[in-house]
Amino acid sequence: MRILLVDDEEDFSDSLSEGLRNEGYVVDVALNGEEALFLYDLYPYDLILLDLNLPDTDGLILCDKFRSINPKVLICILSARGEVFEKIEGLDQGADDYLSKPIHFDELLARIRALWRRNLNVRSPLIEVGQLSIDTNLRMVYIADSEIKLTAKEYRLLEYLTQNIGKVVAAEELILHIWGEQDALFSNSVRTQISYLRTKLRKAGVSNPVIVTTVNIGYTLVIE
Amino acid sequence: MVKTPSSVLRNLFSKFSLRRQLILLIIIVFTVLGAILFISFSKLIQSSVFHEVQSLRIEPTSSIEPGNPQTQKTPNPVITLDIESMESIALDQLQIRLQKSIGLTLVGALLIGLLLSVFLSKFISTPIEELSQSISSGTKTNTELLGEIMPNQELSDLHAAIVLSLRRFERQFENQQQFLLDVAHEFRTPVASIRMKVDVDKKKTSVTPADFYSLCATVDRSTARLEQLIMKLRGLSSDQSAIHPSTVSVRTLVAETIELLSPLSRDKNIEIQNLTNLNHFLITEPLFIQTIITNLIENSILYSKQGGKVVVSSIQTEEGCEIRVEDNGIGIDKEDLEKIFNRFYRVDKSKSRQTGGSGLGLPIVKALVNRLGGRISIKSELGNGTEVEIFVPDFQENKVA
Repeated sequence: MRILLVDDEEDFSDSLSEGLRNEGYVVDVALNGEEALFLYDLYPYDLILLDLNLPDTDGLILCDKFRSINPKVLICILSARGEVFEKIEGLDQGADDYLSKPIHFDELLARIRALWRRNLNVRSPLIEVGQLSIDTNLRMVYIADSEIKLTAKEYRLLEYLTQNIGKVVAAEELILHIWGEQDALFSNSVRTQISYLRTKLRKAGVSNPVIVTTVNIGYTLVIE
Repeated sequence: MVKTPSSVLRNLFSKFSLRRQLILLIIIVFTVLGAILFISFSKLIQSSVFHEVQSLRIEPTSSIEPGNPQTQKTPNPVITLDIESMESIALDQLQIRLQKSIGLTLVGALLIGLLLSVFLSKFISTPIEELSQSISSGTKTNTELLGEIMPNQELSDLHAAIVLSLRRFERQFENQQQFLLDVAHEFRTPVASIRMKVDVDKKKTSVTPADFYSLCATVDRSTARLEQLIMKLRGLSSDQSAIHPSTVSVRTLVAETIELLSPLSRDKNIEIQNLTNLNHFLITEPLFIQTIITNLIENSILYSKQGGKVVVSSIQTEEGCEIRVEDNGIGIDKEDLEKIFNRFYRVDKSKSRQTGGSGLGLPIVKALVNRLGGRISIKSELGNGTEVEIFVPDFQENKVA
């Protein structure tokens, strides 16, 4: 998942982005509205974490803009404005969730997972894909009852393909949503990871689902 | 309400000022007393003299003739007295009678006077009792209290003063509430920074020295902000951070102040016009500018005559805002104009009780305007009204006094 964090407090956004990256998310930080819109234009984001008290604009105005550009993006407001009427205002403006500061990191993680499920139209944290059971909370994958150990990147990869099950996902898209830009934009990394993932699944005896390669276009997770 | 003659009379009576009511009451009582005394004394004197003269008249048949059987049967009482002793006995008796009658009349008059004053004074004391009950009951809102019409001038003034005082407390309380909310709000940011840092670090399975120093730095910065907040709460900070600048709408501020002072202006039937522009804004400390504007408009009201007019207008400049308060009241003498910013200097000493207020307004205004980095000027002519003009700059870190 690629996350855009919009907040002018540097201490706060530094720690938060570090924490999210440790969880395997790709995070970009914008310190003001202008930067946020610039980044939003540049990359495809799955989730925006939005502070309202920004130096050059009000977060609610940004929220509106984000929505009008991409109606499906998930927006979660993180704000020091904690009064009930302020929460109502934020949610009615189009946010998908609202957390008032100070925020507990683990709570934020849980809410991010919940938002992700909502986007997928998946209500339960446990997803069944063919022979696989994916626990999205604990980030664990099982076949029957035995766990298949995956690295963080491998898990995110599987998760993203599951998100777009049946669709062809371009290597570039995978890079943007799972690797970020710090890593070089070589589709080699993708190919390698797909290969590792396939190997692990095969070794665990998984014949369904399968990762199908469409040459020069991308990868698809297919269930039989 | 049934209009009994007594209540009609009471309403009429109550329309006079308290002082006139008392005077009227005393006059009535004295007149009644005087009338009673006069009538009874006149009657008494008349009847006593007549009576005495009659009983003391000398009978014409005074000679004694023997052999006259008619005359001998009925012996005539013949009193041969000289005029002087006759007079003195009559006067003595008259005196005694008069004294008794005076005594009785006085007692009677006193009783009647007492009854009258007890009855009439009710007219005076009842509205005062009603007012104090109304205020002390605490069940009416300030708007309801304001709406009550007092029957006479003194009560009306008292009523207006009480409502104004209540309103002041209310506003001060609201300001305090807002201040507390603002401060509580400011706590969120530094606390959120520490909370997030600690939460994320807690999850790390291994930490580096760099992590440690980073954590220290965050806690250091956030704690410093919290310390500043504590200072603010304790009011110890006398530097610029005590000024908590925010954007103030000039129009709204003036409108709210006019509303606050309406008991005072209504009482004197003064029209206050808010001609400030809807688009004019100031970045400044709201508490200070509130106090400034309230003082200026209040002064205009106090120094205006009945039915006077006060006009508040504004001009926006690049650096801030100019606000002008004009009135067509009694004005200020040229000599006094120079001293007007001195504390406790009251322009017309004899007028002090009449106009009300304590004469501290303008020095405070000047001090606050200076604190905000602004200017104040005053123009006035005796009998021709006063114009006070202040300029307040938008808040900038290094420009505040």
